[in-house]
Amino acid sequence: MKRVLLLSVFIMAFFRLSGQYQGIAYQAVLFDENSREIPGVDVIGNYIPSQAMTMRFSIINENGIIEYQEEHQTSTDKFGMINLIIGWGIITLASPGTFSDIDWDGSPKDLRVEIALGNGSGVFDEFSYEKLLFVPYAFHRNITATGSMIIDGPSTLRSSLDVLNGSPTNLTGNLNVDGFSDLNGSLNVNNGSPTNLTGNLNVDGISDLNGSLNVNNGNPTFLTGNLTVSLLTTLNSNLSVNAVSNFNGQVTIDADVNGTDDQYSSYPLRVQGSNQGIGIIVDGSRDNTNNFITFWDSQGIQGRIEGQTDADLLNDPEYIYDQALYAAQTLVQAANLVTALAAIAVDPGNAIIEGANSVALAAEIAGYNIFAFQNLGVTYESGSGDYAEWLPRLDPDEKIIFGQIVGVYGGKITKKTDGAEMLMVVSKSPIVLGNMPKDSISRKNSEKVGFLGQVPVWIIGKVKTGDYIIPFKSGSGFGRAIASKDLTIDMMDKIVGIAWSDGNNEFVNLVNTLVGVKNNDWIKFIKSDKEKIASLNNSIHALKEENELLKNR
Amino acid sequence: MKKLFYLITLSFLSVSLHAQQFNFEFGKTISKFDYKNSEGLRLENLNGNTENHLALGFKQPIKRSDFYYLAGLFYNKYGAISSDYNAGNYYKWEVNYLGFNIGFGYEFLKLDYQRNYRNVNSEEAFTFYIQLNTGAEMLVQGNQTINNQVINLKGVEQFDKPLILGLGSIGVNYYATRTVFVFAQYTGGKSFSVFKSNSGDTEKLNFITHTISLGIGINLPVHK
Repeated sequence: MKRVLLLSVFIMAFFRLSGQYQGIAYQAVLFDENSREIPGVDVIGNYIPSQAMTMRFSIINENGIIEYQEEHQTSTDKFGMINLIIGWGIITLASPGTFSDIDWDGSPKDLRVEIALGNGSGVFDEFSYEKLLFVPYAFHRNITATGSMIIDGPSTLRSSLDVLNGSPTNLTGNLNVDGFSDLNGSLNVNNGSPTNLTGNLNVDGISDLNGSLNVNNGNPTFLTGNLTVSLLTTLNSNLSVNAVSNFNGQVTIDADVNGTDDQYSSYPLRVQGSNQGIGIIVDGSRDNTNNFITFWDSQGIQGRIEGQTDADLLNDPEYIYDQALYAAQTLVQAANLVTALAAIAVDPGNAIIEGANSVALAAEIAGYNIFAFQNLGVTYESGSGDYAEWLPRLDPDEKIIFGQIVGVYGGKITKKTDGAEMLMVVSKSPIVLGNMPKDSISRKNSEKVGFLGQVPVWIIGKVKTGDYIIPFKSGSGFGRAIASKDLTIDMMDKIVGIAWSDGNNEFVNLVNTLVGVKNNDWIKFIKSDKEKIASLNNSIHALKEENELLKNR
Repeated sequence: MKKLFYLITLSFLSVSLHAQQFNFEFGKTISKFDYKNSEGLRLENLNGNTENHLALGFKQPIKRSDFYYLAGLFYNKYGAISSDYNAGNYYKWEVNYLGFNIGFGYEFLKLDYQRNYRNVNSEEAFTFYIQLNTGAEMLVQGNQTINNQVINLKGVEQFDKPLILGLGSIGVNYYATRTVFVFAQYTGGKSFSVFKSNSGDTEKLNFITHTISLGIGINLPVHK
């Protein structure tokens, strides 16, 4: 085989976007080293045209390992030249991968060229072993690269940088921008990485925060426009609103501010700063189905403040009861007046008294109705049934519980009822509680005493609705029931109230008792006394007449 | 070898001083390189050239016959051109040889001329002759041009070594006077090397020549 001299000329490798077009252009001219024999001096260095050969290219890394190897079956043209693309040949078995698998990572790589002349599988002679060098200076109009570009030094771009096809731009280091940054798409900061802005953030469009917004270091947040929050707004510190606050949805205050009821700080909702308190407007007209305020505890609704109309008042059981009482009183008074007028000649003074009582009763009825209708508006309604006041115990150490009958001495209470100025019952859950103690000690030494309304009372023995309740025994705190027919006049000043429920236990019952409401049984005694007095007056008058007759005989 | 060549040439010169006929010849030689490379292949597109030919000669009749000896010196220029289209090469050779030849000839067909040309009473007449020569020649100067490169062939073994000649001529004399004659002659022959290459070169180069020449000669008086 002729020894040949291969003069290789490398052309800069070109890589295109598609792996099919990756390759290194390789051109070579085949010269005959042995010269061409002619008469005289032989011709040396003539290229060899139309010479069949097999070219083998091997790309070897710095460790001497073949990263790629291929062979080309080719022949020189009429000018002894071959034009090949390294990367387009037939991959040999010794090649670990394809040309596109070569990792051009900047590490040194060599190119070994072997040649075997002829059409058959001749023996390969190594022709050249050269280093693949990087272009030190490249001046291109356009650079197209399908692989990665690794630049170890600074890069200066004198024109714009376009990253097309929606391809991402990944920066592992800092991005310093001295000029404006216009983002025509969205800006995503991923992996929970923070975005730190040392200057102001101006947003002309809508800002959607899919996570929380934290304003740290106690810096204020100023909103010159409206703040619309679609979901929960949690404020872990104070909220100060210096202007009107309109809540167009339900407002729930769920504060863990437990404490005693005499501490202002114990209350979740506090209204202050004005000479008025809380104003409540309900839609539509007020009635007993529209509550201004409703009170709940763990057992349900315990009270409410609701609207009251004329119809509500007319249908109110208490009003109806009061009207019935007044009606009864009116009948009784009318009867008394008639009786007194009938005996006016005998007892003109009584007629005057009854007349005055009638006027007073009429005035009381009129005043009640006027007051009732003029003061329609809201009704405080509760399961509790009495109006009570705090009254201190006469003996702070005395144990008194609800439902016990107490005697009042100078505004203080005790279970001793003999000689008491008034007999009252300790309330359980009054609807209104007045005379609030000024401090906790005073409160501790006081009891809620029912003045008016329904109060449960501990009763010894059975009870019937309508029975009068009087103390069982002074100091016991218990009561006993007296039927109306069994009521005596000396019991009148001991009446605590009237039972409004039955108690069928033979020993002890807790019975709902109406206290503080005037009863009509006094009328019965007064009427009886009056009848007796009238009878006595008649008798006296008759005696006087007989006496006169006797004198005149 | 060169010394032997020059010795023989001088010998002929000394003899020619006493020859009966001197002549001077000039003409054109159409030369062709008969070349085979070391593989026995000829060079394609190898064409000959026409170059100049000069010669001096003498003739000595053999015992008053029509045969005669001859000897001479000549100066021949050979040339050839060739090209290689594929390689884009152009080749040209121009070589000048100086040589001598000896041989014999035979005159025939003498027209209006006495048989014995040594007879001084001859009139104008044509005589034809044929000659056979052999000799040797040596390169005096030569150039080889390859493209734009000119190479001196002095010292190039293929050219710069004695070549043996084998020539055959045919010509016609015209005796203008008894003394002076002119002649026209065709000589064909071959120069070839018989010496082995010192470098082991197995290429073979011969020259095939065709010379058309004109000459003028004088008859020398015959010493009895």
